[in-house]
Amino acid sequence: MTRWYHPHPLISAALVIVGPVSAEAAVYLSVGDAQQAIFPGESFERLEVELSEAQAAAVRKASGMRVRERELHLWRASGGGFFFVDRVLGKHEFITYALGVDASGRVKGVEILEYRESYGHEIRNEAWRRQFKGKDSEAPLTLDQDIRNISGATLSCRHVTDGVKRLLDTHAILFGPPA
Amino acid sequence: MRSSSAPLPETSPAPAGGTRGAGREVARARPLLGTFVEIRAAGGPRDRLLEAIDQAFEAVARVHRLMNAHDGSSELRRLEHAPLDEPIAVDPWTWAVLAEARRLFEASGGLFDPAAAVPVSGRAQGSAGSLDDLVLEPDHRVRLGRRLRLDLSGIAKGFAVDRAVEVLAARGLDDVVVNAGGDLRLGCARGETIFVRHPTDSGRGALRLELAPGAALASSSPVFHRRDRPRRRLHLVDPRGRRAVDHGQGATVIASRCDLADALTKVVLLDPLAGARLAAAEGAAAFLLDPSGSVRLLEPAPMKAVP
Repeated sequence: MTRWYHPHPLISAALVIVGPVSAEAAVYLSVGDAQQAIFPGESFERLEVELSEAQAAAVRKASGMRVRERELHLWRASGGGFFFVDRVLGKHEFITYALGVDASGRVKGVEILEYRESYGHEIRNEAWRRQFKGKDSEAPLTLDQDIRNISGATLSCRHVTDGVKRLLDTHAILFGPPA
Repeated sequence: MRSSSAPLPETSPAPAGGTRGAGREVARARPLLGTFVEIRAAGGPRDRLLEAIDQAFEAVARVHRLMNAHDGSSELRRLEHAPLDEPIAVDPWTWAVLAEARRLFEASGGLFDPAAAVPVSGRAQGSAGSLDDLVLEPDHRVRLGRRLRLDLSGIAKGFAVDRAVEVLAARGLDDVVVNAGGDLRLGCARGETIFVRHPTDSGRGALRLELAPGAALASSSPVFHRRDRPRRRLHLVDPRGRRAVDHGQGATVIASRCDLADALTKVVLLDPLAGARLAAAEGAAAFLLDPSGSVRLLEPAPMKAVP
């Protein structure tokens, strides 16, 4: 183990470490916060929507992506837009994100709600679902541990951008193509 | 000098986020620049922090729109089809990145070269030009001497981080961190602990740094393997042989600006000694991480006495 104090004005101390870095986890916004971040000042009505087999197949065909869950987490904003909460599972990352679609069917905003490197850890479906039930939507999401600043091996956001495309195709199939 | 700081306990966990200073910290993340850009800010009412972070993300999104090498509609890609040998007006931010890239191209003897083209399968693709074929002119104009395939991903991400920190500072927020997939900068009222991953095994750590307030840090590793699913990813071209770099080393640079730290990692990976010299000249510190797990702080070689 090497440790030294670095005589550089930008570094207070440096330490060579060995062994694993714990799984990275970060919680950003609650569902309610993300709604206000994307559609400030608007109110939201939860829509109970489950894609039919045919609709799921149509989304799969349009987006080229698998539809893991047919039950949607979807709200209608008072200004005519729609707000989705979805999650994507990359190789190791489990990412919950929100997508706002404006009244003309275009992306209004994307916010990451929670990021978790799973590395095979159990994905707690029940906890994830519970936060969408009634008042719980304002509650902060669960957080296990916290190593906030990791550098090196930049993570790709491709799974999220793929997910956004799948939700836009879902939106078009449910509510018609963009104006 | 901060070398007199208190010793680090070797076993303590990283400080958890959450509360800082007077109020709670607000953290948001968006998919931008091909990765996750995270902005954390404290030291103000929640609404004010959320709004300021919005503005900071807008600055990052602007860099993304202008300089995305993978989007044919970006200004950078449109430059590929611009007429040769005549001045072309570009966005002031694109101009600023190109000007800094050109400065570092010259300072590194051509090692930092965003015109050395994009590796697809280990072999450099595209033109055989270099940044020498790009001339910066006044009034945010550039002149191209030949067709170039420019990839600013080695500097634009850091530039975006710098602009985001500036936006926050202009709103009086200095207790902030902007982190674009591991290239990050601290506001001038915040120090942070940074973990740097092992260059070829992202499940392991290699280096832990206590950054002083205001510092920027960037890391780069041309080859990287996930622990349980090895996969090679090459993204750095050596302009001297126009081959993708595939050694397993990693570079981490700490500098006063993130664009500089970002660009210097590439020079360090291509030539550690040249990188160390340039880092020292730019007031930066550079670490080289070996696949064995060893970490070296690069010091420029002592100058030979001239008789």
